[in-house]
This record gives sequence, C-alpha cells and structure tokens, in this order.
Amino acid sequence: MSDQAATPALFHYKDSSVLFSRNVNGYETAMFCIHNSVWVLVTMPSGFRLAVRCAYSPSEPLEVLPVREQENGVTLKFKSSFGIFQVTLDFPASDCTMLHYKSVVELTRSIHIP
Amino acid sequence: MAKTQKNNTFDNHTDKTNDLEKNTIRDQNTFMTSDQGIKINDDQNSLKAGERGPSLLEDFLLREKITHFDHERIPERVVHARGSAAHGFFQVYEPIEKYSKAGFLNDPSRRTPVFVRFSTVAGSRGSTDLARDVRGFAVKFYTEEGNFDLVGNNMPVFFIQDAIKFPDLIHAVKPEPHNEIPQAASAHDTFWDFISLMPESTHMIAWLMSDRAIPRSYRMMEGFGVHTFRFINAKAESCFVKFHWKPLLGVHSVAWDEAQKISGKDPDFHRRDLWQAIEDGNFPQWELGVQIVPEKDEHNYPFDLLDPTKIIPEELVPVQRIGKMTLNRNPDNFFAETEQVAFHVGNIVPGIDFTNDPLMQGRLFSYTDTQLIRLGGPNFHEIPINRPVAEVHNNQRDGHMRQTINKGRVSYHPNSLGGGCPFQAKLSEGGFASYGERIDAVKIRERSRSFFDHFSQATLFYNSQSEPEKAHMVDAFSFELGKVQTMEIRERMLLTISKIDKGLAAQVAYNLGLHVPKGKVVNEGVPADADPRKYAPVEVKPTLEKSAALSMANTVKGNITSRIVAILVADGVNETSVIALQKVLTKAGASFKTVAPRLGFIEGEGAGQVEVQDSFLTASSVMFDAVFVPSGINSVATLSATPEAIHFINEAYRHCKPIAIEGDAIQVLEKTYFGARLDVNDAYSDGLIIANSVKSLSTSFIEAIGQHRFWARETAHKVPA
Repeated sequence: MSDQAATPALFHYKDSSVLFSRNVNGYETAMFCIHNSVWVLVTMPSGFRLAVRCAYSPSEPLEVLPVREQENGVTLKFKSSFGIFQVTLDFPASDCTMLHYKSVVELTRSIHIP
Repeated sequence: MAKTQKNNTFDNHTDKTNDLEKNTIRDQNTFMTSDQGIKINDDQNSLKAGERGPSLLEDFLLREKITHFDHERIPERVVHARGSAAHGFFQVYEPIEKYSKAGFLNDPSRRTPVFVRFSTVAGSRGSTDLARDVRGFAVKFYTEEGNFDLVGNNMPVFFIQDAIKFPDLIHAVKPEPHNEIPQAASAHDTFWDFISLMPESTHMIAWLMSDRAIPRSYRMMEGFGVHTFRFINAKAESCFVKFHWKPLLGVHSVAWDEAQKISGKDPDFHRRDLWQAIEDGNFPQWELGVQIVPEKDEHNYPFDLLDPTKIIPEELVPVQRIGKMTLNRNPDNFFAETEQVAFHVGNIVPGIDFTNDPLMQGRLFSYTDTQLIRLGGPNFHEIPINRPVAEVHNNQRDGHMRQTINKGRVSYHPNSLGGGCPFQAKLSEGGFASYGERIDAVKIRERSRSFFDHFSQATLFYNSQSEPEKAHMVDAFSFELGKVQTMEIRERMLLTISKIDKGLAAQVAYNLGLHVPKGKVVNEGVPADADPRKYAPVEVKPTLEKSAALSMANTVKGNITSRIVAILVADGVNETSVIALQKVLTKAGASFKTVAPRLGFIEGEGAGQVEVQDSFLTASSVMFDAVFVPSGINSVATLSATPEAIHFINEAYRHCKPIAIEGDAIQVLEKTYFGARLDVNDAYSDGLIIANSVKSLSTSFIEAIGQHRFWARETAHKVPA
C-alpha cells in the first residue's frame, strides 16, 4: 500500500480508539486498529508524522487481544483468520529518543498476499 | 459482397413456428381440467370435512394444483440468468461455398429460423437490464442440417484465456458470498481483486468500462462469436473465421447516470424495448459478418488467433457481410421458450468447426453440463424450443422426461434386427466430420507465450474511442474502483490501467485521490511450480494506432426507427402542433408518447383534445430518446410551473438527448438549469432545436434524433438533475 492510499485510513486516527500511546520527549507514539490494519503513528515535535502498518488482514477485521503493557513499552496481539500478529513496541532508555518496533505473525495456514 | 437477398417480406412463419405449433396450447372456449383431463367444477374451494372443517387429503385437485405450483421454478442459469429472446430468421446474401459448405450459408433462398436470446451475465433472473455488464448474444439457427448455436457476446473478447479460470471469474463478479451484495454489479472488491491479479483481463476490462456495457437497446448492440472458429468447405479445406453481428440501427449506448436511473424506473427496459419493437413491427435486424483468415496466415499476426482476449482489427481483416438476421416474433411463453432454451457452443453443423482456443474448448464441455442440472436431465434437446427442425434419429434412449417414443427392438449400432438403422451418413450424404487438424504435441498444462501481450489491444481500444467515450471510461473506472474498499486493490488496478494509457490512469487516480503506482504489473495466475517471470505480461507496442470500428462514434446514424419521443403537454397545448409532430415522427418510423401533469385527456388551445399516455409520475425522461415541448400559452405556463416538467427537460439535456422547443415553449426552456445559461450559438446547444413551428423544426429534430446523443454537452453544462 502506498503512503497516499494509507492516508485516508490514518485520518481515522482521531476517531479510533487508541490501543496504546506514549509521549517520549515530545514524540507522541500511538497505536490503533482500523478494521483490517494496525497502525503505529509517530508524531514528531515538528509535526511530521510517520506511520507504519504493523498488522494487516486482507479480508476481515483484526481482533484485538488483551494488551500487555510494560514499563518500557507494550506488546499487543491481533487475531486474524490466518494467524496471530504480535506487535511489540519498546522505548529503550537512551540519550536520544528511540522506538523499537517488531511485528511477528504466527501463521496457522499458508497465505499469499500479492 | 453484393446483397441479393430474395423474399424480403416479413411474415413471421418459419419451419420452427410450425414445429412449435405442435406444443402450443390455446385455452379459448375450453373447460378447465386437471392435468389428467378431468373437467373441474370448483376451482375456488378445497375439499373439507364440513364447511368449517379441515381440508381432506383426498382432494386430488388441491394436491395436484399445489404440487405443481411448488415445483414451478427451475434453477436459474449460473451466468446469463437475466435474458430476453425473440424468434426470427436468417438469410445469406450469396453462397459462400469457397469457405464453408454449411447449407444455411449457401442458399440465399433459404430462410433459416433462429431464436435469439440476449442477456446480462452477472445478475439474477430478476435483476435490472441496465447493469454495467457484458451482454450475451446467443443465436440458435434451426438449419436443415441440424442446430447451429452461435453463442456470443456484445463484446468481441473475454476476461480470461483458459476455461479453467471461468469459475474463478464468475465467483469474483457475482455478489459476494458472505452477504450476497451487490446484485448485478461488478463494482465491488472481489471482482476487482481478481481482475487486478489477472492482467489477461485488461482488454476485456477496457470494453467493460466503455459505453458498450450500457447499451441503449439489445437491438443496437453488435454481437461477436468471441472465439476464432473454422469454416470447412466441400473440399475439406479450412480457414479461420471470426463472426460479427452488425445491427442495422447502429451501436448506441445510454449514459451511466441514465442507466442507473432506468434500473430503478424500469428494470425491464431492454426486455420491454425488444418486445415492443417487435410488437410494433419494427423488426430488429443484424447483418452477419465474417473475418476470414486463410489457414496459411495463422501466424502472420502480432497476436494469437486462439487467444480469446484478442480481436482481429478490421483494418487488418475486413468484415465481409454475408447475410441478414431479422427478429420478427415474440415468444408465446417466456418460460417455455426463453427460459428453457439451451444454447451450446458445441452445436455446430457441417461446414463449421472449432479451434483450439482454450476458452472455447472448456465451453464445449460446460454448456451441456450446466443444462443437465438446470433442465433436469439428458432429454432437454426434446423441449420444443431446443429441438431441431432436422429429424433426430439415434440410439440415445430413456432418461428423465423422455418425450420421444422410439419404436422397435433396436437401440444399438451396428444391428441387423433394425436393418442397420439409423444409418451413419457419408460425407457426401451430409455426415459431419471434424476437421483433420494435425496435432503432434506433448501433454502439458501451459499457456502459450503468444498469449502474454495483455495490454496492446486494450490500448488500441482506448485510443480508438472518441473523447466523450474516453471520458466515460474515466468515469466508469472511477465509479467501479471507488466502490472498492480495499486500497491495495485500487492501487493494483491503477497500475494495470496505466498500461492501457497513462493519461487514463492519471485521471482515474485523481478521482480516487491516489497516485498511479510505478512498476510492472504482476500476473498472479501462475502455477505453483512455475517461474513467475515466464508468466509476466509482455509489453508490446500496438501495431495499429486506432481502429475506427471500435468506436461507437463511427456507428451507423440517421435511422430513427423505433426511437421514442416524449411530447410534454398540459391543458392549453397547441394540439395542431402535437398532431403535426406525431405525423412527422410516424413517417420517420419513430414513436411518441404524450406526457402531462395528469393522465386522461387534456384540452387543446383549439377545440381538440389530446390523449395523455404518461404522467410525470409514471414516466421519466430516461425512458425516451428525445423531448418535444409544443407551444400553447396555458400549457407553457403550466409546464413552466411544474417542477417535474422542468426536471424532465433538465435530465434529458444532461443525458445529451435532442430537445425541440416550439414557439412560446421557450419560456419552459428558460426555467431549466441549462436554458438560463445557454448560448444558443455555442456547440453545447447542438441537438437543441428552437423554432416557431413544427414545420420549421421537424427536419432538424429528426436529424438530431438520428444522431442519438450530443455528448459534447457533458464537458460544459453538468445539469444537476
């Protein structure tokens, strides 16, 4: 998906329930699920925004499983018909502001996404 | 070829009419009976134990009636469920024995009965006629040598190259399985998901997004055999042939906005149009055209003749018109004829044969197979509408609903007890023999490399369209993809469309609020073990820049036979003008309806009355080809103050239809959205005829109706109607 195609979805951000958010040194990080996509949206102090789609289920909505929030971040799981996505965000202590992001999908069946 | 057709009178009697007569029942002056022939005395009350008691199981009349009712429906066709049909005949102009020995193509004196069924593809039996869709164009020729079915479409190519993908295509375009939405529409995710992954569909998609997909009438559509067939002559020599049907009324479409409105106002629009034209004696006619390719030239083209996603441009091989088909009789019973007719690509006669087109080869299996379940068994060829006028003698026996009573002991061949009958026919006696094509090949599941140019003919089609037609394609793609919810599919399609034309893709992308992606179109129709690079589309520059035959702008114009004109009237209308225009229209072969604020009769400004055929409540501009507003002070004042009348004219203008205004009716025009803004000297007033009398406007009005539409208006004055 191109950035432009993603934009309409990102505009839904304001209306969607935020699954997790954290502000580190003015960098606002938010995660939210819109229908079949999970987005991490980072808004920088300058207003510049960076979006990453970290889970995607083409033909049906993702089911959000219970959130596990830790001191340094959060781990979320999302269920789709073909497996479980596990998305981890953490914010390691550092001199500069850092965000680590990892998305893993455990497939329960074979898939092919063009 | 010279047209030397004989016997050009239009009586509607054919050998097939005689044949059907054997099964045609008329109930006039008869008693009502049960299915067993028992006269019925009481068809109002079931048999009960006492007048307020329970009904009795004994009531064989109740049981018979209810049971038959409960079993009235049969499965609808899995595709082409929605259709309308008519009887007629075909006559060849001159013998074509050089190419084919088919009897019906070699005797100009012979009238071969035909039954023709038009249809949409995706919608159910009760769906709208005006869906954006391919139209089926299936012709059953009841020839003296047996039935020949030319089972075609109104578009010359198809979505897929191999029949093994047909179930996938239809699953994708049909209503989505979880909620059965949308009905009779391709504008949804699953269809475009499939299309975006199958670039071989690109050429067909260009046709589907063109105005060809929303015809004005079945009578104004071209027909195509789609595949390349073979002709076989008496010397057993073969040539390749593509079949075309060319409508004498030209090829015309409606506007997309109009199509959607017709779908609500009159979903039977095409069915009604075909029926009414035949009832009125305006018999639709098509010329049968053939493109002949000598066997030796099979590989001389930049495309493969066996690829059903390709046309043979008429600039490369001209269409020769060899005969004419006339439809002149409506069916007597929709179910018995239109619903039970069973077409089959495999129904051919000596002189015609198949090619190895892999879509055609699959169709040869599929039609009989689907009819076995739809019509309930192997004897559907005996149903009156399906049985040939040629005699049938073979050793096929029994099965559900067998009608034929075969006499004698013998149902096998060879036999001695039956005297060896029925005999096999020698070639000299008309026996069918398949063309002896030499085949020396390895058994393989593969797609020929000659099939992988998916874009050049789509580009040729787009480049051949007029500017309004191109604009309609932009709108069609934007509408369809705008209904698609999955962004990834929209973007994949934009990439595919960019291979047709970058400008087209850019305009669609703008409407979707996207950019055209860069990169190569990926073909996902790849076997598991195949190298995807071998299946990648091959981008080839079109060898032709344009083909005039591909644009409806170049179609036959000027014939206004069966066109319908709305005459807007109210009390005080100049009835002399109404009558004068009606005479002019009748003379030109067109018809008319008066439309008024109410039904009944209205008073003319003289002493006369005008019968009202439709009110603004029952009619809509989308049901008409043109509008006339006659003069008359009171009528003009009423119409000017009637919002429905103003909307009627605005909408007709929006759909680019001819509008004629007489005398003081200019006041009505001034109330319209466009009338207040129009400079009568600019091009956007084309098709708008304003004059002081019917005499001075009638010639221009007739010419304007003959032009069908004035699409240039769309670019300047979008009317909010």
